[in-house]
Amino acid sequence: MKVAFPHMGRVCIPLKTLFDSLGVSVIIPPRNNDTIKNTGYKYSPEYSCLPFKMILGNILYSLENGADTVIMLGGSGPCRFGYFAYMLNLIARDLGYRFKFICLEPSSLLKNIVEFKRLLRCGYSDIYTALVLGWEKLKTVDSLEALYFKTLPYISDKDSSKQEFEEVVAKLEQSSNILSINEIYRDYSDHLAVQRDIYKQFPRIGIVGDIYTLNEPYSNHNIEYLLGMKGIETTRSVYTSTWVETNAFFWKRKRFNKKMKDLSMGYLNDNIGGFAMETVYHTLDFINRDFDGILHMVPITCMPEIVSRQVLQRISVEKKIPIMSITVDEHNDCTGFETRVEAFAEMLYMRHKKV
Amino acid sequence: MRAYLGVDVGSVSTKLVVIDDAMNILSSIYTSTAGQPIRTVQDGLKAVEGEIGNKAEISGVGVTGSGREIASIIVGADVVKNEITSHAVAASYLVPDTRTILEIGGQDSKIIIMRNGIVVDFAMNTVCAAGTGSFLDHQAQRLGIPIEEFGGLALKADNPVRIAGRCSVFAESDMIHKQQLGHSTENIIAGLCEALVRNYLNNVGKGKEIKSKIVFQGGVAANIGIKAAFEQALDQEIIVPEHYKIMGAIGVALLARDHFKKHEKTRFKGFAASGFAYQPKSFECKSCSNLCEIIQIYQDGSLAARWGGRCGKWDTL
Repeated sequence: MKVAFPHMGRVCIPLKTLFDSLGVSVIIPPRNNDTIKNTGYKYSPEYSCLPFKMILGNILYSLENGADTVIMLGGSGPCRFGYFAYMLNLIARDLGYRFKFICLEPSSLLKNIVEFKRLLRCGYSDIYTALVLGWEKLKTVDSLEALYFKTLPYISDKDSSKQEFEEVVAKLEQSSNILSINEIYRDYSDHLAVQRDIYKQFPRIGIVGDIYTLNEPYSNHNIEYLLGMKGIETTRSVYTSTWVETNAFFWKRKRFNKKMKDLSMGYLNDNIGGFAMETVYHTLDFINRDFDGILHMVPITCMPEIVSRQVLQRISVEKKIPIMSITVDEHNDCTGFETRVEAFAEMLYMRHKKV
Repeated sequence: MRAYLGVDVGSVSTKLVVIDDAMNILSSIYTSTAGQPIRTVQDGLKAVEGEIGNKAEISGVGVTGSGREIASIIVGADVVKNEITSHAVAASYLVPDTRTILEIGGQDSKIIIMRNGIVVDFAMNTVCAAGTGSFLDHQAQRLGIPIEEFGGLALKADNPVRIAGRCSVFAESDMIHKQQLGHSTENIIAGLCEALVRNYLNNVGKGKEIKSKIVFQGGVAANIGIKAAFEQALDQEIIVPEHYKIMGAIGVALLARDHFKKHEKTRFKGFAASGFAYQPKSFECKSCSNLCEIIQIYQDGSLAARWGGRCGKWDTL
């Protein structure tokens, strides 16, 4: 059995650990690049979104290189009427690939685990150990990124900090027990704490949108790094780990959904699929937490985000907070993107200074 | 006398402006970029040199526009700024108490909301360039009307037709359809102006509080038909400043002036830069799977700048 899964930011690190400890070999495509994007575009319906096309490119690459099982994290939720993952599966089958397709949905996680046990012929305890280790790595890699982009604007030697960060992540990739994972995080946060000037407060931006665009630097043009270099603190609304936490853990899911619905009430009363409600909820939440601005990433043709963009405009007027929606698609050239982001950052600085 | 150079390399036109400390415009050049930003900027520099000669000494240079990176290498810029900030600086300086800036250029359109002299909100066209200068240019050409007369014709219309303004492809087929039905050119052009303004206000200006004074700038501000359509749609006075075409360049020249007052030095390469041979070369970096397209600019055979990498590998020359 050779397992493959599409890239989404650094999610391949915990997933590789998970399968490694179960003794399953994995095929990881290279980090998202133009070749993968072009493959995805070639075989996708024209009207599908950038995440769909990128994921298809990833899957086709893995199948071409010998994968026989493809695992998707989510993808049969209400986004694209629940057909997101199935379309990927069908397109690859139409191209002649034969493989097993597993769509991990938080709601059917227990069923998936039983299925895995049967496929791998291993015990529940093995799966449990692998899941715990994988979960710990996922949480840590997300916390490391969050911490880095929160601190980046304050670091004096920004260029070498990127290198440093990559080294820490590489170390995390190698570690194989929870103690060393926790140690890596502790060391790095101590290291960053020294560089953070606590008397300074730069403008803060909350980045909202769908999970793929937020977590995959290739599709968001590395927005957090770009803003960090311009002296802006950033926080994502949805990290992979927070999504797993609030969806797979049923005891947390209920509470989170209630919280989300309560706050969004009056702006978006029903879940319309994708991450529309999360976008609205987190925007309001960021505003309550005194963020200086909101950046909304919209993959072109993404219905849920198009709806939430309209809602966000109303929030922007009512709460008097600058909210900018940026549409992302296949274009490679970043000048237009950078112009908007730079202008947004500068405007926040001007507003920030005035207060 | 000290002077400051502002260069705005846009998608369609390139603007160069020289101002002095008292904000007098010593020289201003407006040319077509014609897809050759390097040569256009160099020709512009030569023309500026011819106009100001030895009268003034360039003490600061600012560049803006979508070609700002490349222009900053050619002239040696102290300030590299985005168009939004540059336009806002110029408008708030030349038209005090500006509260709204409508700007339509060759490929993009933006709205900038200002309160008490600072930018508090802005929006830019998202994915479509419908209603920007290059589309109007194209239509004028198709109808065989010089672009300078295009707006004037709109004012002569007695019954503007309705044109779909959302998408330039739809707008064009709508226009052709109306023209085949026998509507007069004046009415079609007036309809187009209204459609573009409607599209701009719905798309770019959506949800923004448009308060006077409203300044309309950018190349399209030359079109009096569009200006009239804005006045009609907003029911407010629209101010088109004297230097509407070169506002971006003026703004960035003002920023260069501030920069000089602070740092007392400039990176300006001198007017000789118009004679250097600049040559861009690109290659695909194969060090990792990102496959970045790296662009290198050579000045007289030696490497002057490089960009395009996602990692830090190519950052240092």
